[in-house]
Amino acid sequence: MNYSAIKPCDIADGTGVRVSLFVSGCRRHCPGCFNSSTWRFGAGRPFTEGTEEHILRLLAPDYIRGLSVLGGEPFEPENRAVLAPFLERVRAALPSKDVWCWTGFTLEELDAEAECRRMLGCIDVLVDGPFVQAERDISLAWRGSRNQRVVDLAKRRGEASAFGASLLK
Amino acid sequence: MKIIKRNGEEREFDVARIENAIAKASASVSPLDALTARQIARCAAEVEQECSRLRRAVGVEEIQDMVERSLMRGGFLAVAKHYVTYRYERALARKGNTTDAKVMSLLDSVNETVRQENSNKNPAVVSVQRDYMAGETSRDLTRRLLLPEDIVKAHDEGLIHFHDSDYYAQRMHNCSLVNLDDMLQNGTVISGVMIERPHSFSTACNVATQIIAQVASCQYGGQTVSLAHLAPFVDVSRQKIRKELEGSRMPKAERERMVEQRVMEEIRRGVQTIQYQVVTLMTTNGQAPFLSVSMYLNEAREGREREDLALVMEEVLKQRIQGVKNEAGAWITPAFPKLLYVLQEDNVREDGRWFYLTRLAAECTAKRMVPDYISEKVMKANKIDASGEGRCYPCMGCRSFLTPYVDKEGKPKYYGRFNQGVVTVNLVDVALSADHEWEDFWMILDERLELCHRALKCRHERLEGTLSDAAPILWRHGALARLPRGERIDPLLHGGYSTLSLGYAGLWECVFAMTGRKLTEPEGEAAGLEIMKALNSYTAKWREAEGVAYSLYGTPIESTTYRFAKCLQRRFGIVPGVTDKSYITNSYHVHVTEPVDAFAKLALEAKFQLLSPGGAISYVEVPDMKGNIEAVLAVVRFIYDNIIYAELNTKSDYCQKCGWDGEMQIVEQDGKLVWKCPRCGNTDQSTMNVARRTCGYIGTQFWNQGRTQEIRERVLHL
Repeated sequence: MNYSAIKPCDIADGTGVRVSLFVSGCRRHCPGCFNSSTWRFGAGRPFTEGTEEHILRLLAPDYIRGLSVLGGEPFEPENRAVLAPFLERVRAALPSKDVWCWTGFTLEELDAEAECRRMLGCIDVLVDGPFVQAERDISLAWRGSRNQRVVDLAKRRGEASAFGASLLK
Repeated sequence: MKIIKRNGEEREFDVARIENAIAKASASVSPLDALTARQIARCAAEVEQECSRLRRAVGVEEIQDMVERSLMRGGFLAVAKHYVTYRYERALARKGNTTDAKVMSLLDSVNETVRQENSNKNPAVVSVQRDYMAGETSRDLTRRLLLPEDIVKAHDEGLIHFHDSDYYAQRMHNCSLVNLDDMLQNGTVISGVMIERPHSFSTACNVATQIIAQVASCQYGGQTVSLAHLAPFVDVSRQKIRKELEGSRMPKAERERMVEQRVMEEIRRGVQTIQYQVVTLMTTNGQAPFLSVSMYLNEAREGREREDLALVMEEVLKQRIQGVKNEAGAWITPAFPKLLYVLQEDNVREDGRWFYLTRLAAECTAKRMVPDYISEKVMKANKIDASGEGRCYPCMGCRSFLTPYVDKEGKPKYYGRFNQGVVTVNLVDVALSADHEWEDFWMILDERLELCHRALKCRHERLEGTLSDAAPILWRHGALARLPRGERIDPLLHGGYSTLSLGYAGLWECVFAMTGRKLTEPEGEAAGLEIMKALNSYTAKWREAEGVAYSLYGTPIESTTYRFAKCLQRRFGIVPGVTDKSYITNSYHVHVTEPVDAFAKLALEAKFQLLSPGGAISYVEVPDMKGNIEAVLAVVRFIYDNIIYAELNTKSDYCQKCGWDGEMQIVEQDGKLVWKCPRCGNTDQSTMNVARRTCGYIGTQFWNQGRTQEIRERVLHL
């Protein structure tokens, strides 16, 4: 897997201040995509053991609430093979941090695949569905078009809501 | 041999010029008293000899003294008398009225400098024009009569900045913490009318705004009042309402509910009074009072009073989130009052008793750019007074902090104290003058600081001898003191009661010029800290010698940033990374174009802020964060753990055409920078509201192209 960017202090992709990882590679090619430079699987740099260590270090400070994984498409088979173990590592090493993930698939599609379910088990908030230009609305929180959903996976697992007490009013 | 002209220029000595002057004086007396050509030549030669004996460049005034003496010695008394008269008349002409042109351009609204000087004053308005006219007169008197020539010259060349010369002619001080507590509890006098202790919260708020207006007209800087001083009046209202309802036959529980409901109405009314009065008032300084309101829970007594303060704080924040209506009826961000929120152990974490207030404050910051945040923890660890106790207290208006002080009984005293004024040293000029040589740097710094010191002494001495009657609200009726009529305020100027600020500007460029390193690099940071420590050693030395509380201050140089930049370019040309912008960086701040994240910036700047005891503020520039209050809270918690005083430059915009309240964009259109709504594409400035903080002040009018460019160049720290 390659990745296109790591933002060490991101406030635009999920609640709180977060570390964001933009993976490379996406076959969906939605018209109007905000990040088409990451469609190519070879874009950016290889995601290595060193990259993992770097991200774990960036996640450590108190003011960082968690990790956001965007793309590209994190759930492309090539990417999930790397991300599933990595997300498990993050959860084990830093249990107080939460994980957000953006995908063009729908939750229902992902639920059907074992490897995807393994990843979903590590994710607290999933923003799902393809970007549809006709449904574009810049005032939406965390998503680009109205068809996309912000799903509280933590709550679905029976854990405390990923949004805390009063977020997303 | 050289002489020095009046403007400081050096010129070759020319004996013919002296002969000319004597000949002129001689020609205008009767021929009987006149000098012959030989006598003229002899007089001039005497002067030349006297000059050469001095073995240094001689000033024009000195030479004229020599001419006078030479004429007297020669017995040419009539000519000497004429020469003296001529000198006197020339001197008068030089000191003659130079303000006419400036005042006329003000009245015709063509004075561009004035127009950009203060974003809170609108120079098209007649009452503001009156203030500016007075300001020009004061500036003129200051330059010609009140300040030594070398200080005026250093100011003109941009080596130092003598602030607020438009108020210097009068005996006015800078900024203060108003002792509202004393004035409300013990009564005061406003314009000769006695005001007794208020009988309700809303009356207390009303009286407070009258006091604020009066104080604002008696000083030129900002003032801070504390909500803790108003909080006791909530219970005054509660007791009054309870008494009124005593006779009713309602069940007790219901009656109590009704009492609390009416108390809340009372709080709403009072808070609204302060907000609307403060933004609508115009002081004699031609602007709304520069007011900060401090919100500090631990300042109120535990129990009822602190709970009431929490109610008042909640209402202040809610009303600020709503905003005020502009001319067109749209809710907008008011520039004043500025809000100061103190972070303390029980309001920063989710499980803290008062955390709900901090969350509300964070929402308010995201929407309205205020409050700013003060950390009780960091402040108490660093502001230690004579009794060994750490103290926490708000700044005065904008960012000036008092130094710790205890009164004669050993009690800490903050409200009622003030700052006498500021003179700022341009550190960039010191560095470029030293040209990479540290030895020269410290020597030049020493000279410049001595100039600042003398200029500060002028400020101090100008205030000495001021009578309490000059500003009764301040000195006689409790805002700052309760002196008798006709008493000098001098004791308040000494012994650390009030402060005198040595400002500094451009540490970033200074360090870069000397070391080629940025403050964000280890070597640059070390050099920066060393310079700051040196500056502090000067204020300590002066404090020691004079018993006056000099302290080091991170000046908010609003228009001065451009003046300094212009002067630097004139003196040194374009030096990459140092003089290549039309502004220099405020105080110890990291340069606006430097990519650094919010936490790294605050952690770095905290080290410098501790070395800026006379005041300073750090800021982080962030995008619209209304959708991510959690992130605002992360920054706020970081402030609590790391830095005394910081603010978030959030974005607070509104498009009246489509209702968009996210961030407006700056785009280029026909070679000009214009503001544009990203949702509907509106570019009509009259139908949008944009608020940005520039040098510590919230501006809501639109900016000139230069400033708009600077705003556009700002790097976001999140």
